[in-house]
Amino acid sequence: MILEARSVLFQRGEKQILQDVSVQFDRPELIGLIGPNGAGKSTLMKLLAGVLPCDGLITLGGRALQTIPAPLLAQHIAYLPQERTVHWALNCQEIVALGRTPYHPGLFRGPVREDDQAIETAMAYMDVHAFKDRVFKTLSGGEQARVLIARVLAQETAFILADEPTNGLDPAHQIGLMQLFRRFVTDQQKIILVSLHDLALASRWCDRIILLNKGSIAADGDVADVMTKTQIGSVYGVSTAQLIIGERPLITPVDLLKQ
Amino acid sequence: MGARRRLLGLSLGLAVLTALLFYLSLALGQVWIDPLSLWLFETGPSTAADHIILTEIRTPRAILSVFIGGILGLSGAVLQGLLRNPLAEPGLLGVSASASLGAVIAIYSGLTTLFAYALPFSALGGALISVMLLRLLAGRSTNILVLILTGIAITSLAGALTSLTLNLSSNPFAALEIVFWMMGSLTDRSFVHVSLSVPLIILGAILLFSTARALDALSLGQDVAHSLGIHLRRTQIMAVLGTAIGVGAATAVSGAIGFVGLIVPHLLRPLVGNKPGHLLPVSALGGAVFLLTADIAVRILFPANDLKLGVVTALIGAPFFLWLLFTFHRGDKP
Repeated sequence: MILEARSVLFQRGEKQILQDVSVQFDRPELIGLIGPNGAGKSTLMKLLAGVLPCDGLITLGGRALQTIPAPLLAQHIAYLPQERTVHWALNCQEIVALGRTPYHPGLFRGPVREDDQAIETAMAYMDVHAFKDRVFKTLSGGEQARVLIARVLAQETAFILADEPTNGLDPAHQIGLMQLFRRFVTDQQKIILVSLHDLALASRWCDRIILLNKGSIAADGDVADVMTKTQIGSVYGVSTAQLIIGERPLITPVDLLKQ
Repeated sequence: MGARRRLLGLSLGLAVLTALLFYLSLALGQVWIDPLSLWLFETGPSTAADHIILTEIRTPRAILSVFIGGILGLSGAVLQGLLRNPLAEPGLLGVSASASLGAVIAIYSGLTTLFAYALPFSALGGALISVMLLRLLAGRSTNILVLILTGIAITSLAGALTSLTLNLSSNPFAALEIVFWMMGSLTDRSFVHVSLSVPLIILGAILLFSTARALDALSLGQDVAHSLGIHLRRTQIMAVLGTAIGVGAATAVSGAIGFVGLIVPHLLRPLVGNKPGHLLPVSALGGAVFLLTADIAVRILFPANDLKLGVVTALIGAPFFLWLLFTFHRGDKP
Protein backbone atom coordinates (compact mmCIF):
# COMPACT_ATOMS: atom_id res chain seq x y z
CA MET A 1 0.00 0.00 0.00
CA ILE A 2 1.26 3.47 -0.87
CA LEU A 3 1.21 6.49 1.43
CA GLU A 4 1.64 9.64 -0.56
CA ALA A 5 1.64 13.38 0.08
CA ARG A 6 1.16 15.69 -2.88
CA SER A 7 1.88 19.42 -2.66
CA VAL A 8 1.01 19.57 1.01
CA LEU A 9 0.75 22.99 2.65
CA PHE A 10 0.30 23.70 6.30
CA GLN A 11 -0.19 27.00 7.98
CA ARG A 12 -0.55 27.91 11.63
CA GLY A 13 -1.79 31.44 12.03
CA GLU A 14 0.41 33.60 9.84
CA LYS A 15 3.24 31.13 9.88
CA GLN A 16 3.77 28.83 6.93
CA ILE A 17 4.98 25.58 8.47
CA LEU A 18 5.06 23.32 5.44
CA GLN A 19 5.02 24.32 1.79
CA ASP A 20 4.66 22.18 -1.28
CA VAL A 21 5.77 18.95 0.37
CA SER A 22 5.48 15.93 -1.90
CA VAL A 23 6.70 12.57 -0.70
CA GLN A 24 5.92 8.94 -1.31
CA PHE A 25 6.31 5.76 0.73
CA ASP A 26 5.74 2.63 -1.29
CA ARG A 27 8.21 -0.07 -0.25
CA PRO A 28 9.43 -1.56 3.02
CA GLU A 29 12.20 0.67 4.25
CA LEU A 30 13.40 2.57 7.28
CA ILE A 31 13.21 6.26 6.48
CA GLY A 32 14.91 8.93 8.56
CA LEU A 33 13.26 12.34 8.64
CA ILE A 34 15.91 14.90 9.57
CA GLY A 35 16.09 18.66 9.69
CA PRO A 36 16.83 21.48 12.14
CA ASN A 37 14.45 22.57 14.90
CA GLY A 38 11.32 24.13 13.45
CA ALA A 39 11.82 22.54 10.03
CA GLY A 40 8.34 21.00 10.23
CA LYS A 41 9.20 17.38 10.99
CA SER A 42 6.57 16.88 13.69
CA THR A 43 3.91 18.63 11.63
CA LEU A 44 4.65 16.45 8.60
CA MET A 45 4.43 13.35 10.81
CA LYS A 46 1.04 14.42 12.15
CA LEU A 47 -0.26 15.17 8.68
CA LEU A 48 0.88 11.79 7.36
CA ALA A 49 -0.72 10.09 10.37
CA GLY A 50 -4.00 11.86 9.66
CA VAL A 51 -3.91 13.54 13.07
CA LEU A 52 -3.90 17.02 11.51
CA PRO A 53 -6.02 17.99 8.50
CA CYS A 54 -4.17 19.72 5.67
CA ASP A 55 -4.40 21.52 2.38
CA GLY A 56 -3.13 19.44 -0.47
CA LEU A 57 -3.62 15.76 -0.69
CA ILE A 58 -2.41 12.87 1.41
CA THR A 59 -3.56 9.48 0.19
CA LEU A 60 -3.26 5.93 1.45
CA GLY A 61 -3.74 3.34 -1.28
CA GLY A 62 -5.15 6.07 -3.51
CA ARG A 63 -7.78 7.23 -1.00
CA ALA A 64 -7.58 10.61 0.70
CA LEU A 65 -6.90 10.11 4.42
CA GLN A 66 -9.95 12.15 5.42
CA THR A 67 -12.27 9.77 3.53
CA ILE A 68 -10.96 6.65 5.26
CA PRO A 69 -12.92 5.68 8.40
CA ALA A 70 -10.72 6.48 11.40
CA PRO A 71 -10.54 2.95 12.86
CA LEU A 72 -9.63 1.53 9.43
CA LEU A 73 -6.90 4.12 8.98
CA ALA A 74 -5.61 3.27 12.44
CA GLN A 75 -5.23 -0.36 11.35
CA HIS A 76 -2.75 0.81 8.69
CA ILE A 77 -0.87 3.75 10.21
CA ALA A 78 0.46 3.96 13.76
CA TYR A 79 1.74 7.22 15.17
CA LEU A 80 4.09 7.78 18.09
CA PRO A 81 4.28 11.42 19.20
CA GLN A 82 7.31 13.04 20.69
CA GLU A 83 5.72 13.73 24.08
CA ARG A 84 5.36 10.80 26.42
CA THR A 85 1.89 11.68 27.61
CA VAL A 86 0.06 9.22 29.82
CA HIS A 87 -2.76 10.52 31.96
CA TRP A 88 -3.98 8.58 35.00
CA ALA A 89 -1.97 5.88 36.69
CA LEU A 90 -2.23 3.28 33.94
CA ASN A 91 0.09 0.29 34.13
CA CYS A 92 2.27 -0.73 31.20
CA GLN A 93 0.18 -3.64 30.02
CA GLU A 94 -2.91 -1.43 29.90
CA ILE A 95 -1.02 1.09 27.80
CA VAL A 96 0.23 -1.52 25.34
CA ALA A 97 -3.30 -2.95 25.13
CA LEU A 98 -4.58 0.45 23.98
CA GLY A 99 -2.77 -0.30 20.72
CA ARG A 100 -5.62 -2.71 19.96
CA THR A 101 -8.24 0.05 20.05
CA PRO A 102 -8.66 0.30 16.23
CA TYR A 103 -9.74 -3.35 16.10
CA HIS A 104 -12.64 -2.74 18.49
CA PRO A 105 -14.53 0.28 17.24
CA GLY A 106 -17.79 -0.96 18.83
CA LEU A 107 -18.53 -0.62 22.50
CA PHE A 108 -19.22 -4.20 23.46
CA ARG A 109 -16.78 -6.45 21.64
CA GLY A 110 -14.16 -7.34 24.18
CA PRO A 111 -10.55 -8.36 23.56
CA VAL A 112 -10.00 -11.62 21.68
CA ARG A 113 -7.08 -14.04 21.48
CA GLU A 114 -5.35 -12.15 18.64
CA ASP A 115 -5.30 -9.08 20.86
CA ASP A 116 -3.64 -10.89 23.74
CA GLN A 117 -1.15 -12.37 21.30
CA ALA A 118 -0.33 -9.00 19.70
CA ILE A 119 0.11 -7.42 23.13
CA GLU A 120 2.37 -10.23 24.31
CA THR A 121 4.49 -10.10 21.14
CA ALA A 122 4.84 -6.33 21.31
CA MET A 123 5.88 -6.46 24.95
CA ALA A 124 8.40 -9.18 24.18
CA TYR A 125 9.92 -7.16 21.31
CA MET A 126 10.39 -4.13 23.53
CA ASP A 127 11.47 -6.20 26.52
CA VAL A 128 8.98 -4.61 28.88
CA HIS A 129 7.59 -7.80 30.46
CA ALA A 130 9.54 -7.23 33.65
CA PHE A 131 7.53 -4.12 34.50
CA LYS A 132 4.22 -4.78 32.76
CA ASP A 133 2.25 -4.38 36.00
CA ARG A 134 4.01 -1.23 37.10
CA VAL A 135 2.46 2.20 36.83
CA PHE A 136 3.87 4.12 33.85
CA LYS A 137 4.88 7.18 35.85
CA THR A 138 7.16 5.14 38.12
CA LEU A 139 9.36 4.01 35.21
CA SER A 140 12.58 5.60 33.97
CA GLY A 141 12.51 7.66 30.77
CA GLY A 142 13.96 4.83 28.73
CA GLU A 143 11.49 2.30 30.07
CA GLN A 144 8.62 4.68 29.36
CA ALA A 145 9.79 5.11 25.78
CA ARG A 146 9.89 1.34 25.30
CA VAL A 147 6.38 0.89 26.68
CA LEU A 148 4.98 3.52 24.31
CA ILE A 149 6.76 1.91 21.35
CA ALA A 150 5.30 -1.45 22.39
CA ARG A 151 1.87 0.21 22.17
CA VAL A 152 2.63 1.16 18.57
CA LEU A 153 3.79 -2.37 17.75
CA ALA A 154 0.62 -3.86 19.25
CA GLN A 155 -1.32 -1.81 16.72
CA GLU A 156 0.15 -4.10 14.01
CA THR A 157 0.16 -1.56 11.20
CA ALA A 158 2.02 -1.55 7.88
CA PHE A 159 3.17 2.03 8.52
CA ILE A 160 4.82 3.32 11.68
CA LEU A 161 5.43 7.05 12.04
CA ALA A 162 7.59 7.74 15.09
CA ASP A 163 8.51 11.27 16.13
CA GLU A 164 11.94 11.24 17.77
CA PRO A 165 11.53 7.81 19.34
CA THR A 166 15.19 7.69 20.44
CA ASN A 167 14.87 10.84 22.50
CA GLY A 168 15.98 10.21 26.06
CA LEU A 169 17.27 6.70 25.39
CA ASP A 170 20.82 5.65 26.21
CA PRO A 171 23.05 4.61 23.27
CA ALA A 172 22.39 0.90 23.76
CA HIS A 173 18.63 1.42 23.65
CA GLN A 174 18.90 3.87 20.74
CA ILE A 175 20.81 1.34 18.67
CA GLY A 176 18.57 -1.47 19.90
CA LEU A 177 15.51 0.45 18.73
CA MET A 178 16.96 1.25 15.31
CA GLN A 179 17.95 -2.41 14.87
CA LEU A 180 14.47 -3.45 15.87
CA PHE A 181 12.96 -1.09 13.29
CA ARG A 182 15.32 -2.59 10.69
CA ARG A 183 14.11 -6.06 11.63
CA PHE A 184 10.50 -4.98 11.17
CA VAL A 185 11.36 -3.66 7.73
CA THR A 186 13.08 -6.85 6.58
CA ASP A 187 10.99 -9.47 8.43
CA GLN A 188 7.54 -7.88 8.36
CA GLN A 189 7.78 -5.58 5.34
CA LYS A 190 6.85 -2.54 7.38
CA ILE A 191 7.38 1.03 6.24
CA ILE A 192 8.83 3.01 9.12
CA LEU A 193 9.38 6.75 9.19
CA VAL A 194 11.35 8.11 12.15
CA SER A 195 12.29 11.69 12.77
CA LEU A 196 15.75 11.99 14.27
CA HIS A 197 18.04 14.68 15.56
CA ASP A 198 20.98 12.32 15.76
CA LEU A 199 22.63 12.42 12.34
CA ALA A 200 24.90 9.49 13.21
CA LEU A 201 21.95 7.24 14.02
CA ALA A 202 20.13 8.36 10.88
CA SER A 203 23.08 7.73 8.60
CA ARG A 204 23.97 4.41 10.16
CA TRP A 205 20.55 2.74 10.22
CA CYS A 206 18.22 4.33 7.68
CA ASP A 207 17.69 3.16 4.09
CA ARG A 208 16.52 6.54 3.02
CA ILE A 209 16.80 10.06 4.35
CA ILE A 210 14.37 12.93 3.93
CA LEU A 211 15.99 16.27 4.74
CA LEU A 212 13.48 18.92 5.69
CA ASN A 213 14.43 22.59 5.81
CA LYS A 214 12.13 25.53 6.58
CA GLY A 215 9.02 23.59 5.66
CA SER A 216 10.26 22.18 2.35
CA ILE A 217 11.99 19.01 1.36
CA ALA A 218 15.63 19.89 0.66
CA ALA A 219 16.62 16.38 -0.35
CA ASP A 220 15.14 12.88 -0.40
CA GLY A 221 17.11 9.73 -1.21
CA ASP A 222 20.01 7.49 -0.17
CA VAL A 223 22.09 8.42 2.84
CA ALA A 224 25.09 9.10 0.60
CA ASP A 225 23.10 11.36 -1.72
CA VAL A 226 21.30 13.37 0.95
CA MET A 227 23.74 13.68 3.81
CA THR A 228 26.56 15.31 1.87
CA LYS A 229 28.92 17.78 3.49
CA THR A 230 27.48 20.70 1.54
CA GLN A 231 23.85 19.72 2.05
CA ILE A 232 24.14 19.18 5.82
CA GLY A 233 26.35 22.26 6.02
CA SER A 234 23.87 24.55 4.34
CA VAL A 235 20.82 23.25 6.20
CA TYR A 236 22.24 22.77 9.70
CA GLY A 237 25.22 25.15 9.57
CA VAL A 238 27.60 22.47 10.84
CA SER A 239 30.58 20.67 9.39
CA THR A 240 30.51 16.88 9.33
CA ALA A 241 32.92 13.98 9.47
CA GLN A 242 32.29 10.70 7.73
CA LEU A 243 33.34 7.17 8.59
CA ILE A 244 32.67 4.11 6.51
CA ILE A 245 31.60 1.18 8.67
CA GLY A 246 31.03 -1.98 6.68
CA GLU A 247 29.43 -0.72 3.52
CA ARG A 248 27.62 2.11 5.17
CA PRO A 249 28.58 5.70 5.87
CA LEU A 250 28.34 7.13 9.38
CA ILE A 251 28.01 10.87 9.46
CA THR A 252 28.43 12.96 12.54
CA PRO A 253 28.42 16.73 13.08
CA VAL A 254 31.74 18.17 14.19
CA ASP A 255 31.72 21.95 14.43
CA LEU A 256 29.72 25.06 13.67
CA LEU A 257 30.41 26.47 10.24
CA LYS A 258 31.76 29.99 10.22
CA GLN A 259 29.48 32.17 8.17
CA MET B 1 -7.15 -10.66 33.48
CA GLY B 2 -7.00 -9.32 37.04
CA ALA B 3 -8.32 -5.86 36.24
CA ARG B 4 -11.43 -7.20 34.53
CA ARG B 5 -12.25 -9.55 37.37
CA ARG B 6 -11.77 -6.74 39.86
CA LEU B 7 -14.09 -4.52 37.84
CA LEU B 8 -16.75 -7.22 37.74
CA GLY B 9 -16.41 -7.93 41.45
CA LEU B 10 -16.64 -4.28 42.40
CA SER B 11 -19.62 -3.72 40.10
CA LEU B 12 -21.44 -6.68 41.61
CA GLY B 13 -20.65 -5.50 45.14
CA LEU B 14 -21.91 -2.00 44.41
CA ALA B 15 -25.04 -3.37 42.71
CA VAL B 16 -25.86 -5.47 45.78
CA LEU B 17 -25.20 -2.46 48.01
CA THR B 18 -27.47 -0.32 45.84
CA ALA B 19 -30.26 -2.91 46.17
CA LEU B 20 -29.82 -3.08 49.94
CA LEU B 21 -29.84 0.70 50.33
CA PHE B 22 -32.85 0.96 48.02
CA TYR B 23 -34.69 -1.40 50.34
CA LEU B 24 -33.58 0.56 53.40
CA SER B 25 -34.62 3.79 51.71
CA LEU B 26 -38.12 2.36 51.37
CA ALA B 27 -38.23 1.05 54.92
CA LEU B 28 -36.73 3.98 56.85
CA GLY B 29 -38.38 7.25 57.76
CA GLN B 30 -40.73 8.66 60.37
CA VAL B 31 -42.25 5.18 60.60
CA TRP B 32 -40.55 1.89 59.87
CA ILE B 33 -42.28 0.06 57.06
CA ASP B 34 -41.08 -3.31 55.90
CA PRO B 35 -41.87 -3.18 52.19
CA LEU B 36 -41.56 -6.89 51.57
CA SER B 37 -43.89 -8.06 54.30
CA LEU B 38 -46.30 -5.25 53.45
CA TRP B 39 -46.51 -6.19 49.81
CA LEU B 40 -46.46 -9.94 50.36
CA PHE B 41 -48.55 -10.61 53.42
CA GLU B 42 -50.59 -7.73 54.69
CA THR B 43 -53.62 -6.11 53.31
CA GLY B 44 -56.48 -4.29 54.97
CA PRO B 45 -57.35 -0.90 56.43
CA SER B 46 -54.61 -0.87 59.08
CA THR B 47 -51.90 -0.87 56.43
CA ALA B 48 -53.53 1.51 53.98
CA ALA B 49 -51.52 4.49 55.25
CA ASP B 50 -48.33 2.48 55.04
CA HIS B 51 -49.17 1.60 51.46
CA ILE B 52 -49.62 5.24 50.57
CA ILE B 53 -46.40 6.29 52.29
CA LEU B 54 -44.53 3.54 50.56
CA THR B 55 -45.82 3.94 47.04
CA GLU B 56 -46.49 7.68 46.89
CA ILE B 57 -43.63 9.06 48.95
CA ARG B 58 -40.77 6.69 49.48
CA THR B 59 -40.67 4.75 46.23
CA PRO B 60 -40.28 7.76 43.92
CA ARG B 61 -37.70 9.19 46.31
CA ALA B 62 -35.65 5.99 46.29
CA ILE B 63 -35.90 5.66 42.50
CA LEU B 64 -34.78 9.25 42.03
CA SER B 65 -31.85 8.72 44.44
CA VAL B 66 -30.64 5.81 42.35
CA PHE B 67 -30.96 7.54 38.98
CA ILE B 68 -29.80 10.99 40.01
CA GLY B 69 -26.88 9.65 42.06
CA GLY B 70 -26.00 7.37 39.17
CA ILE B 71 -26.00 10.06 36.50
CA LEU B 72 -24.02 12.46 38.69
CA GLY B 73 -21.35 9.83 39.41
CA LEU B 74 -21.25 8.75 35.77
CA SER B 75 -21.00 12.24 34.33
CA GLY B 76 -18.24 13.08 36.81
CA ALA B 77 -16.27 10.05 35.64
CA VAL B 78 -16.83 10.92 31.96
CA LEU B 79 -15.89 14.60 32.38
CA GLN B 80 -12.76 13.64 34.30
CA GLY B 81 -11.77 11.25 31.53
CA LEU B 82 -12.59 13.68 28.75
CA LEU B 83 -10.75 16.62 30.30
CA ARG B 84 -8.08 14.27 31.71
CA ASN B 85 -8.48 16.04 34.96
CA PRO B 86 -9.49 14.51 38.31
CA LEU B 87 -11.13 17.75 39.47
CA ALA B 88 -13.77 17.88 36.76
CA GLU B 89 -17.34 17.50 37.98
CA PRO B 90 -20.67 18.75 36.65
CA GLY B 91 -21.34 20.81 39.80
CA LEU B 92 -17.87 22.30 40.02
CA LEU B 93 -17.89 23.19 36.35
CA GLY B 94 -21.11 25.15 36.57
CA VAL B 95 -23.36 22.59 34.88
CA SER B 96 -25.63 22.17 37.89
CA ALA B 97 -25.85 25.90 38.57
CA SER B 98 -26.72 26.57 34.93
CA ALA B 99 -29.32 23.82 34.95
CA SER B 100 -30.82 25.41 38.09
CA LEU B 101 -30.91 28.74 36.33
CA GLY B 102 -32.73 27.17 33.41
CA ALA B 103 -35.23 25.58 35.79
CA VAL B 104 -35.78 28.80 37.74
CA ILE B 105 -36.41 30.74 34.54
CA ALA B 106 -38.91 28.09 33.44
CA ILE B 107 -40.75 28.33 36.77
CA TYR B 108 -40.84 32.12 36.82
CA SER B 109 -41.78 32.62 33.24
CA GLY B 110 -44.78 30.39 33.87
CA LEU B 111 -43.69 27.95 31.21
CA THR B 112 -44.01 25.06 33.63
CA THR B 113 -47.73 25.66 34.05
CA LEU B 114 -48.21 25.47 30.30
CA PHE B 115 -46.15 22.41 29.63
CA ALA B 116 -44.84 19.88 32.16
CA TYR B 117 -41.63 19.11 30.31
CA ALA B 118 -40.66 22.80 30.25
CA LEU B 119 -38.82 22.33 33.55
CA PRO B 120 -36.46 19.52 32.53
CA PHE B 121 -36.00 20.92 29.04
CA SER B 122 -35.06 24.37 30.17
CA ALA B 123 -32.76 22.94 32.88
CA LEU B 124 -31.21 20.88 30.12
CA GLY B 125 -30.81 23.99 27.97
CA GLY B 126 -29.01 25.74 30.82
CA ALA B 127 -26.74 22.75 31.30
CA LEU B 128 -26.00 22.57 27.57
CA ILE B 129 -25.05 26.22 27.35
CA SER B 130 -22.71 25.92 30.33
CA VAL B 131 -20.90 22.89 28.95
CA MET B 132 -20.48 24.62 25.60
CA LEU B 133 -19.13 27.72 27.32
CA LEU B 134 -16.75 25.55 29.27
CA ARG B 135 -15.47 23.83 26.14
CA LEU B 136 -15.09 27.17 24.44
CA LEU B 137 -13.19 28.81 27.27
CA ALA B 138 -11.17 26.01 28.77
CA GLY B 139 -11.46 23.15 26.31
CA ARG B 140 -8.09 23.67 24.63
CA SER B 141 -6.20 24.44 27.77
CA THR B 142 -4.55 21.64 29.70
CA ASN B 143 -4.17 23.94 32.67
CA ILE B 144 -6.27 22.80 35.60
CA LEU B 145 -6.52 26.30 36.97
CA VAL B 146 -8.10 27.63 33.78
CA LEU B 147 -10.71 24.89 33.93
CA ILE B 148 -11.58 25.44 37.57
CA LEU B 149 -11.69 29.21 37.16
CA THR B 150 -13.91 28.90 34.13
CA GLY B 151 -16.21 26.66 36.15
CA ILE B 152 -16.27 29.21 38.96
CA ALA B 153 -17.02 31.99 36.50
CA ILE B 154 -19.89 30.07 34.91
CA THR B 155 -21.25 29.12 38.33
CA SER B 156 -21.09 32.76 39.45
CA LEU B 157 -22.76 33.99 36.30
CA ALA B 158 -25.54 31.42 36.58
CA GLY B 159 -25.87 32.31 40.28
CA ALA B 160 -26.09 36.00 39.51
CA LEU B 161 -28.73 35.47 36.85
CA THR B 162 -30.66 33.20 39.21
CA SER B 163 -30.54 35.93 41.87
CA LEU B 164 -31.71 38.45 39.30
CA THR B 165 -34.66 36.23 38.44
CA LEU B 166 -35.50 35.89 42.14
CA ASN B 167 -35.00 39.61 42.63
CA LEU B 168 -37.45 40.45 39.91
CA SER B 169 -40.05 38.04 41.24
CA SER B 170 -43.07 39.79 42.70
CA ASN B 171 -43.99 36.98 45.04
CA PRO B 172 -41.64 36.60 48.07
CA PHE B 173 -43.08 33.22 49.05
CA ALA B 174 -42.43 31.77 45.63
CA ALA B 175 -38.91 33.16 45.83
CA LEU B 176 -38.36 31.45 49.17
CA GLU B 177 -39.70 28.22 47.80
CA ILE B 178 -37.30 28.40 44.87
CA VAL B 179 -34.36 29.06 47.17
CA PHE B 180 -35.17 25.91 49.12
CA TRP B 181 -35.70 24.00 45.92
CA MET B 182 -32.28 25.04 44.68
CA MET B 183 -30.56 23.62 47.75
CA GLY B 184 -31.20 20.22 46.29
CA SER B 185 -33.55 17.71 47.80
CA LEU B 186 -35.57 14.60 47.04
CA THR B 187 -38.27 15.24 49.63
CA ASP B 188 -41.87 15.11 48.43
CA ARG B 189 -41.05 14.05 44.92
CA SER B 190 -43.71 12.02 43.14
CA PHE B 191 -43.91 9.66 40.21
CA VAL B 192 -44.50 12.72 38.02
CA HIS B 193 -40.92 13.72 38.79
CA VAL B 194 -39.76 10.20 38.09
CA SER B 195 -41.45 10.16 34.71
CA LEU B 196 -40.09 13.63 33.89
CA SER B 197 -36.49 12.85 34.64
CA VAL B 198 -35.74 9.15 34.44
CA PRO B 199 -36.17 8.73 30.65
CA LEU B 200 -33.87 11.69 30.03
CA ILE B 201 -31.37 10.45 32.60
CA ILE B 202 -31.30 7.07 30.86
CA LEU B 203 -30.76 8.77 27.50
CA GLY B 204 -27.93 10.85 28.96
CA ALA B 205 -26.38 7.73 30.51
CA ILE B 206 -26.43 5.90 27.16
CA LEU B 207 -24.61 8.80 25.51
CA LEU B 208 -22.09 8.94 28.35
CA PHE B 209 -21.43 5.18 28.34
CA SER B 210 -20.75 5.30 24.58
CA THR B 211 -17.57 7.29 25.27
CA ALA B 212 -15.88 4.54 27.33
CA ARG B 213 -13.40 3.26 24.72
CA ALA B 214 -12.55 6.76 23.56
CA LEU B 215 -11.82 7.86 27.14
CA ASP B 216 -9.39 4.95 27.52
CA ALA B 217 -7.56 5.99 24.35
CA LEU B 218 -7.57 9.63 25.47
CA SER B 219 -5.32 8.59 28.38
CA LEU B 220 -2.51 8.76 25.82
CA GLY B 221 -3.40 12.30 24.71
CA GLN B 222 -5.55 13.65 21.91
CA ASP B 223 -3.13 12.99 19.05
CA VAL B 224 -2.60 9.36 19.93
CA ALA B 225 -6.32 8.83 20.55
CA HIS B 226 -6.95 10.25 17.09
CA SER B 227 -4.31 7.98 15.57
CA LEU B 228 -5.96 5.01 17.29
CA GLY B 229 -9.12 5.67 15.30
CA ILE B 230 -11.08 7.65 17.89
CA HIS B 231 -13.44 10.36 16.64
CA LEU B 232 -12.57 13.13 19.07
CA ARG B 233 -15.38 15.43 18.04
CA ARG B 234 -17.97 12.70 18.31
CA THR B 235 -16.65 11.74 21.73
CA GLN B 236 -16.82 15.32 22.93
CA ILE B 237 -20.34 15.76 21.61
CA MET B 238 -21.50 12.54 23.30
CA ALA B 239 -19.92 13.55 26.62
CA VAL B 240 -21.24 17.11 26.50
CA LEU B 241 -24.73 16.18 25.38
CA GLY B 242 -24.90 13.24 27.77
CA THR B 243 -23.88 15.42 30.70
CA ALA B 244 -26.24 18.22 29.76
CA ILE B 245 -29.23 15.91 29.20
CA GLY B 246 -28.59 13.66 32.19
CA VAL B 247 -27.50 16.23 34.75
CA GLY B 248 -29.98 18.77 33.38
CA ALA B 249 -32.85 16.33 33.90
CA ALA B 250 -31.57 15.36 37.34
CA THR B 251 -31.20 18.96 38.44
CA ALA B 252 -34.64 19.77 37.11
CA VAL B 253 -36.29 17.51 39.69
CA SER B 254 -33.83 17.57 42.57
CA GLY B 255 -32.21 20.99 42.45
CA ALA B 256 -28.45 21.26 42.51
CA ILE B 257 -26.77 18.32 44.25
CA GLY B 258 -23.06 18.89 44.08
CA PHE B 259 -19.82 16.98 44.49
CA VAL B 260 -21.19 13.47 43.86
CA GLY B 261 -19.42 13.42 40.50
CA LEU B 262 -16.19 14.54 42.12
CA ILE B 263 -16.07 12.23 45.12
CA VAL B 264 -17.37 8.97 43.68
CA PRO B 265 -15.00 8.50 40.70
CA HIS B 266 -12.12 9.65 42.81
CA LEU B 267 -12.71 7.04 45.50
CA LEU B 268 -13.28 4.25 42.99
CA ARG B 269 -10.44 5.05 40.57
CA PRO B 270 -7.69 3.21 42.51
CA LEU B 271 -9.96 0.19 42.94
CA VAL B 272 -10.56 -0.42 39.23
CA GLY B 273 -7.05 0.25 37.98
CA ASN B 274 -7.36 3.80 36.71
CA LYS B 275 -8.67 3.04 33.22
CA PRO B 276 -11.24 5.78 32.57
CA GLY B 277 -13.60 3.42 30.72
CA HIS B 278 -13.60 0.94 33.60
CA LEU B 279 -14.54 3.75 35.92
CA LEU B 280 -17.87 4.49 34.21
CA PRO B 281 -20.09 1.60 35.36
CA VAL B 282 -18.74 1.60 38.90
CA SER B 283 -19.08 5.38 39.16
CA ALA B 284 -22.73 5.15 38.15
CA LEU B 285 -23.36 2.49 40.80
CA GLY B 286 -21.19 4.31 43.32
CA GLY B 287 -23.14 7.53 42.72
CA ALA B 288 -26.39 5.69 43.41
CA VAL B 289 -24.95 4.22 46.63
CA PHE B 290 -23.65 7.63 47.71
CA LEU B 291 -26.90 9.48 47.14
CA LEU B 292 -29.08 6.76 48.66
CA THR B 293 -26.85 6.81 51.74
CA ALA B 294 -26.90 10.60 51.98
CA ASP B 295 -30.66 10.70 51.53
CA ILE B 296 -31.18 8.06 54.23
CA ALA B 297 -28.78 9.91 56.54
CA VAL B 298 -30.72 13.14 56.05
CA ARG B 299 -33.93 11.40 57.12
CA ILE B 300 -32.47 9.51 60.08
CA LEU B 301 -30.12 12.08 61.58
CA PHE B 302 -32.24 15.20 61.24
CA PRO B 303 -35.85 14.08 60.90
CA ALA B 304 -37.28 17.34 62.21
CA ASN B 305 -35.12 19.88 60.43
CA ASP B 306 -35.76 18.86 56.83
CA LEU B 307 -32.06 19.13 56.08
CA LYS B 308 -31.56 19.44 52.33
CA LEU B 309 -29.72 16.70 50.49
CA GLY B 310 -27.67 19.17 48.44
CA VAL B 311 -26.50 20.79 51.67
CA VAL B 312 -25.27 17.44 52.99
CA THR B 313 -23.41 16.48 49.79
CA ALA B 314 -21.79 19.92 49.75
CA LEU B 315 -20.82 19.56 53.43
CA ILE B 316 -19.09 16.27 52.60
CA GLY B 317 -17.87 17.33 49.17
CA ALA B 318 -16.34 20.72 49.78
CA PRO B 319 -13.87 19.55 52.47
CA PHE B 320 -13.09 16.55 50.27
CA PHE B 321 -12.35 18.94 47.41
CA LEU B 322 -10.09 20.98 49.69
CA TRP B 323 -8.26 17.84 50.72
CA LEU B 324 -7.86 16.89 47.04
CA LEU B 325 -6.35 20.27 46.28
CA PHE B 326 -3.99 19.90 49.22
CA THR B 327 -2.72 16.51 48.08
CA PHE B 328 -2.63 17.55 44.47
CA HIS B 329 1.08 18.02 44.02
CA ARG B 330 2.43 18.75 40.63
CA GLY B 331 4.18 15.40 40.60
CA ASP B 332 0.95 13.49 41.24
CA LYS B 333 -0.74 15.15 38.31
CA PRO B 334 -2.36 12.39 36.29
